[in-house]
Amino acid sequence: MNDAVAVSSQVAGHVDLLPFAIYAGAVIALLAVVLLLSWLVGARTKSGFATNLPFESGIVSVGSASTIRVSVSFYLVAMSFVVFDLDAAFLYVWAVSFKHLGWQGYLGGVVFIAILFAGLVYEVKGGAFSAAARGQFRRLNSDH
Amino acid sequence: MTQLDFQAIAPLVVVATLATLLTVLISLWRHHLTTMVVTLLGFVLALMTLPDVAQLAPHRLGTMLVVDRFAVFVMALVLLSSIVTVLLSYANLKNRPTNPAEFYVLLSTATLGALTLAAATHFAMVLLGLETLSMSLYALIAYPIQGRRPLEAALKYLVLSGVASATLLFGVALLFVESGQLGFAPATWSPSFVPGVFYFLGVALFLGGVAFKLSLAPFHMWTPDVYEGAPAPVAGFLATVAKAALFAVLLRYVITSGVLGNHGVMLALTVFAILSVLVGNLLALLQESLKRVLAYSSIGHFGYVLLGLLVTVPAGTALATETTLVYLAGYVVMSLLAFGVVELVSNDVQADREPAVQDIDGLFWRRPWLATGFALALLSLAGMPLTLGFIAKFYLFSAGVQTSSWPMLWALVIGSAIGAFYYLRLIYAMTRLHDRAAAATPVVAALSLAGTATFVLGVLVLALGLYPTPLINEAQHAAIEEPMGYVSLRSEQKAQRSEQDAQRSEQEETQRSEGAKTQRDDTNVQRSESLASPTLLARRMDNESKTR
Repeated sequence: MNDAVAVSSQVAGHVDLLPFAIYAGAVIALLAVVLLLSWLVGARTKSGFATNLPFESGIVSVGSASTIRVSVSFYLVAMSFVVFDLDAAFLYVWAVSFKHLGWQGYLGGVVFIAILFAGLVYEVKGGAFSAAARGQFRRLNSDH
Repeated sequence: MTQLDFQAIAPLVVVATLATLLTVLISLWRHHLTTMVVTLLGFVLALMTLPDVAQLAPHRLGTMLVVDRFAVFVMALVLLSSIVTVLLSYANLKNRPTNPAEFYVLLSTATLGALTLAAATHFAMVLLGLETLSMSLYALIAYPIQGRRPLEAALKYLVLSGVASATLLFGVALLFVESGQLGFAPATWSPSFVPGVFYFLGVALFLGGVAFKLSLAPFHMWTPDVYEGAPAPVAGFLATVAKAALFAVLLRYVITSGVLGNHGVMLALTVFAILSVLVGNLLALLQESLKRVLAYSSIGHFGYVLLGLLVTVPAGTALATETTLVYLAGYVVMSLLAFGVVELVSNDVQADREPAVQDIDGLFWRRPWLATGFALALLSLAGMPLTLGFIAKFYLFSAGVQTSSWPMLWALVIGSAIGAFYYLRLIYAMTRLHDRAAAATPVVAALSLAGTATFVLGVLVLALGLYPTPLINEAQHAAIEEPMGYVSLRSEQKAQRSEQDAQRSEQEETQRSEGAKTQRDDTNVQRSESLASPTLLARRMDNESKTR
């Protein structure tokens, strides 16, 4: 019995590792080919002003990013979007199997939505979605 | 889920409801005292459900959670620490210009994560609980946003803890690659499971992630900086709730998976433990900041308790849970006391500076009660008799002697000897008399919430040091529920002792079954039985790794 287990594990070890090794080898080979070809075939330019410019889809960049200031409320909106978007994705799964889940699943969904709604109430009351910082978040923002 | 399921996870339900309720409450009516009282009531209510939950224990919720007496014990520790954190934070937050209300929401979500970890038997639940806990902690550490240090500490914790979570997750993914299962115990995965390369890689990465969160020695770098930057109550919360919950995960994992039977894993964890004892105690020697001393001391203490775990698990799960839980409970109470005193001291210190040794100079003359409390905490951490720390350390020593693990005892003795120096150094600083004018009029502060909480903790350290029976009784009953399809570890010990006999009888049985024509069925049964036990599985893993 023990021998059989040992043999099967050895076989299993090889079978498990082989595709992984091939995959890793393929990745390294691909990278090497790409680098080598671009070195062989690519045009050679002397390093100058144009080569040191950041490439922004062919458009010459203007100014520096460090001087631009974006209101922190945009960040709040973006973050809320991500949070609610992700939670909505869970609701799709729930909706697809709605009838199958029965009353228990319905109640689970209701609790989930209620918790989301509590978060939404908090954000709206705090003024997270107003363009100018107002409401309860103002105190946080105006400290700086 | 049945009604019984909901009753079994009542503390989780209560704390989750509390977090949602607080969110609505503070968006409608921002009032610091009300928020604090509601939080406190929520935690106390969750604590009051625990005796009923203990009656139901052990109760399984699928493969995800097991609410056993062990989980109930850790939940009680977590909830008590959270209550103390609320009491300590109230005055701290009142003196700061930031909105205080969100602190309590974050504290309740962090507690929810810790409660989940206490009962988790499934890697998905571990990750869920861990992230709920960590995400809340990032914000809690950075809560005083006016200061530079809290932000720095929070950023460090965010980046490093994120890396540790990713490491842990990758380990879990490798375990999944190997087995297609996410339960803790390989014995429950499949009767024909044989560990391969990815299994050990996965275990190593998982344990590495856990060791980081527990700040065990090669992964301890973040601890002093984060504890120093965080507000004292939050640092106390980090040192007690976060660590107790993670240690519960580690304990449950090593016991249910039998992974300690593998020599490599055992060796790695032993190195972590001994390094933690040495590094924690040596680096604490010359620290000036009080919080840094406590941070290094907590590294050392988790080295001790990991050593206790490592020597007791092979001798039986009951001894392991009893020893480590008594130590963990003792550590939590005395750490909270120490951080409570640091919080009270830091009220006297300028806002932009962290409390250092010089701030407790002559504290015995200026504020005798506070100094007594701190001295009690330090003596207890050093393991002096008559305090809770002595009982905890005594348990470790007796476990070491019972299992005759001499290297562990040496590490314990050396660590404690070094530790005694820096604990007594702080007590010595408190006795120095510099300012005679201040000493002439000792201040007894008016009774505050934080002061009361600290006083109760001090009484608890003394009372449980003198009469530890209730704590020991609870720890003795705090058994870890074995996963399904699991033969108990102790019967495996006997099997290991008479291994040769077992092999002989196994051969006889095989011969007999050959005669009885039902050969295949019999072998299958035998195989599933032998693999269902963690020790045998671990021994097989070890043989596997040797043959490789």
